Amino acid sequence: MSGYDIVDVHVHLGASAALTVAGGVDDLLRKMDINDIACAVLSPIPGQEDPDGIESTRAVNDAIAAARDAHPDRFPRILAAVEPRHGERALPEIERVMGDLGFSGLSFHNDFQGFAADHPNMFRIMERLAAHEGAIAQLHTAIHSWLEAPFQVGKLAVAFPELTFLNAHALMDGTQTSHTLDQAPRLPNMYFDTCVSQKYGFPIERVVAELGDDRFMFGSDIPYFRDRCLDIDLIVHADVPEESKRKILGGNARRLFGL
Amino acid sequence: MTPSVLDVHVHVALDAPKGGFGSIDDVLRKMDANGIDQAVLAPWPGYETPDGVRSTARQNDGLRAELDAHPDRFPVGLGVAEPRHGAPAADEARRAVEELGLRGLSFDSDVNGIAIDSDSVAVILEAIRPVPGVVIAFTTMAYSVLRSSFRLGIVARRFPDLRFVSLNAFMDITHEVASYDLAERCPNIWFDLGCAKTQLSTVERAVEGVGADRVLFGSAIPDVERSHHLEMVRIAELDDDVRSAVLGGNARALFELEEVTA
Repeated sequence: MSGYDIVDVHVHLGASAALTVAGGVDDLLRKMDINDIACAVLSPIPGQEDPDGIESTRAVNDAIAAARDAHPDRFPRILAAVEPRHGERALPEIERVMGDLGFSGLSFHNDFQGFAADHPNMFRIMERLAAHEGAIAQLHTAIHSWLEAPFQVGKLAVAFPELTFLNAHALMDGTQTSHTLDQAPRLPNMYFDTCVSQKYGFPIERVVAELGDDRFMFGSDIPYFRDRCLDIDLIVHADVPEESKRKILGGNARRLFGL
Repeated sequence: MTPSVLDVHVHVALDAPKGGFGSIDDVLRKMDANGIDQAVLAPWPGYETPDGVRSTARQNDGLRAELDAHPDRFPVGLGVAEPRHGAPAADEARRAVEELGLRGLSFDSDVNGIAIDSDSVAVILEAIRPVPGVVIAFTTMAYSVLRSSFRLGIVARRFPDLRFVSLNAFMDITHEVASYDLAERCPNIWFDLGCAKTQLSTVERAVEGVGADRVLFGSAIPDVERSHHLEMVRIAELDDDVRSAVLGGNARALFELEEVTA
């Protein structure tokens, strides 16, 4: 046992056609147990097949809601998929998931969705999402991508200050960590996860020293590894105050998601 | 005699309003303005897919209609199939080439959301593999996760009986070297000059690096108003027969089209 209250903001359900990775509910729970993760924010695995367009997306989101309903203590908060390539007709799904289905927001991985994070369709989606108070937009970023570079997500954060953005994979390599350090002070509505962080160069120590410990949250990326999540080790063994570790491993997520 | 120009890289936005950017009128106007006689036409890769595979089918039907409406300008077309549509995508690919008579498929993997060398793409290629003469075009890029050039090499080696085109094969110096490397190991790949860098003798180096018979002119219309790449080929230090091959002869051989004189 880690001795920490661990809340994971980055767990995916489903089968990815993009990366040939899959995780069912039982597999996710098993990996959460192995890593002493109390509960998680659940979102659809990116790059799922969508042969029926918006109907496929609805089915994906229904599966997420069903997992939450079956395990409300382990998946207390959920994020939905909406596909920018589905155009205008994708938008009603936002009302459906943010209404009766009780999602906390949306999750994107634009490298596997075909349209860039700053594509006009993404702005239309964010505009609709912003109508829902307290909504959260999780966007995966990659510093060398031309579809989901952090600066592109930053444009959304500037355009929609009423939304809260969760920048996933913000510490993935040295360049991305440096960009995060540069971007964060200008974007008060952006939070960051530590998912798949670089395991060299002391990223946790760097961000806590320069930005403080309020805006970073642990994310595991379950099911993308077999058993142990080394990102927990990175935080637990970081040379930062104990209170910072508690906030990054769980406290900040509980605050942001109202847990 | 001016060699006729067959452009292997033209997209039409089938959902665009009449006369709007990327519409067939816009495409024809830009071809005329640049002196491009004919082109291999493919749907704009970033079309929207709210109905999944049915959205894709509408693109392929729309492409067939444009080919039929302008047979003198578009002697062949390449259809689309979306790897994220799973097994139904393979059925649509087969329909596109067998029933609609499209000559092959065109992929932009960054828009598809699936890597060139993924199993989802392989299923589609297997579906059209038996059709004689098909050509598969993949947009490539040196720094992309999903459409890096080396991924096309993996596919080309996996399907040695299929013929491939690397679209945008010379965008920068890293990309062009990757194309030379691909050419050496994969005799079934041809290389398009669309979006090529315009310094450091790209055309001359391409002819030397991948072979004079495998370099294809592509304009990337509608994304350009003036085709600087056509001018780049016209002023390149090449023998006239090589220039003629790059401007159209190689593409005619690849797509098994008869020579025409402009």
